[in-house]
Amino acid sequence: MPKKIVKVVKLQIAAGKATPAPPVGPALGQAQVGNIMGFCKEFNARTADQVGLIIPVVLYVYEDRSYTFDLKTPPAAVLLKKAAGIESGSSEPNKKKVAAVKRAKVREIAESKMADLNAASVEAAMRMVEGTARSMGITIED
Amino acid sequence: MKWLEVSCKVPQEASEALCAVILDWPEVQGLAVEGVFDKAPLHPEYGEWLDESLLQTDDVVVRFYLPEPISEADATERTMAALRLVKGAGLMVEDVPEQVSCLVLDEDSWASAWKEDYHPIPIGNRLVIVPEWDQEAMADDDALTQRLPIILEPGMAFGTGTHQTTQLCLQSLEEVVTDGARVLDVGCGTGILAIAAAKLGAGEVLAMDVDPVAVSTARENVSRNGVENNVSVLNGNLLAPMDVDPTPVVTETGIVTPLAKGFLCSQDLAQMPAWNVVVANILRDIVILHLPVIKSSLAPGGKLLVSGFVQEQAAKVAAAMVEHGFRVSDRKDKDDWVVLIAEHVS
Repeated sequence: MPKKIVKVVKLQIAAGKATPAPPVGPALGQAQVGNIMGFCKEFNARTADQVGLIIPVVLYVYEDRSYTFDLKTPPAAVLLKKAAGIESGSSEPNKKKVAAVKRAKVREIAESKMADLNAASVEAAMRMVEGTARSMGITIED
Repeated sequence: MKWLEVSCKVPQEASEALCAVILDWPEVQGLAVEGVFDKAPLHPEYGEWLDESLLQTDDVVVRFYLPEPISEADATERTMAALRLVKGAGLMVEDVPEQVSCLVLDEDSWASAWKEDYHPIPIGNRLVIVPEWDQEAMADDDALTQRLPIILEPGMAFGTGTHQTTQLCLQSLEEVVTDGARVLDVGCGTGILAIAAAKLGAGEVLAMDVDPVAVSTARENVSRNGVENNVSVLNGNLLAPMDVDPTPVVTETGIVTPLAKGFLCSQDLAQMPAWNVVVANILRDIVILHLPVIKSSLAPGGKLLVSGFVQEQAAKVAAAMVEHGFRVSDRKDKDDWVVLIAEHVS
């Protein structure tokens, strides 16, 4: 049966720990998906091996309010933190730098996340990843 | 409880960086981003296509939620500061207040979305799940009225009967619950499985859940179904430390769990007579962690039903069951979800 997708929502939530609390409840509620706990159960079961990571999940809502979802790899920020060996970004990224990553690593992350970032080219994806790094107080080294 | 929903419209290029900055705020437990990311639907081979309006978005909306009390002015200023950081990092984004909007949301606003699409669901050969607000409609259907009704007001707990794992467990309970049996439901959610067990003839049923919200929902459902004499519902955690701490704790999921007097833990279970049937519809790893305590409280020859995992994870659960002295005797699948039925062998 042809199924029209009427809403696309991407969530970034902790693997294995989705609950009806925000952002899941209101995001699904606004998308008119009633089965909030059903989504939590599915998401938690499918991300049970990745507890501790933030996982982006793209939710596709059909016209009849049923839905499907697609799990993505961790966000660029998580991959940057992992590469830099830090737990969180700088509270004052303009003044206080907390780590540095090589440009080659940025390219690697950009290439792996290019499709998820909806970037037209590797260079465009790199620009987004570099911007994310600088927003977190991570400098880029050649 | 009320939440302030903060929405911020930004070009796609800046959204990843803005999300990174906001996710570092300790009170933010995740966020939502609206806009089209994939130009094609996930499964065009199944006949999926995107509504035209979704293809026209250049910007995306980043949406996150702050628990009250927080003023709109404070939330807007913090968001503006995040936008300035992203702009300072060289990404294309405006840092004007017009990009930010706030809305106060009550938890009920999304919790009540259920009712419109929820109708009686026949399960197996003998059961039917009936939404409380839909009982009259069911009275007109002879085939449904001959079944044992489980009347539910789902609320904010899992187990409305629409999920495959709930249906698999209900079907399996039909097969294993005998008259007068003692049944333990670990992770009861709405209490649907415990209520079904009682309606199927169980003599004594204990339903427990770590989430106090689920416990209160389950108690209401037990009373709604008139099975209070057979079903008790307790807040508890069979994996909790033996020394019960009376002070509230915040779990990893952010839920405050009051470990108060009456909180059921494994040593309490050890004082009770053995159970003939134990059902645990939770998650793969949680199910596996429960196996030793379930083994010690299940009567010889008793049945264990476990679910909450998908087909690719079933082998790991089955192996753990065998390792803990169970014999896996049956398995049912629905879509890609699984229930495993095992017997306690000494």
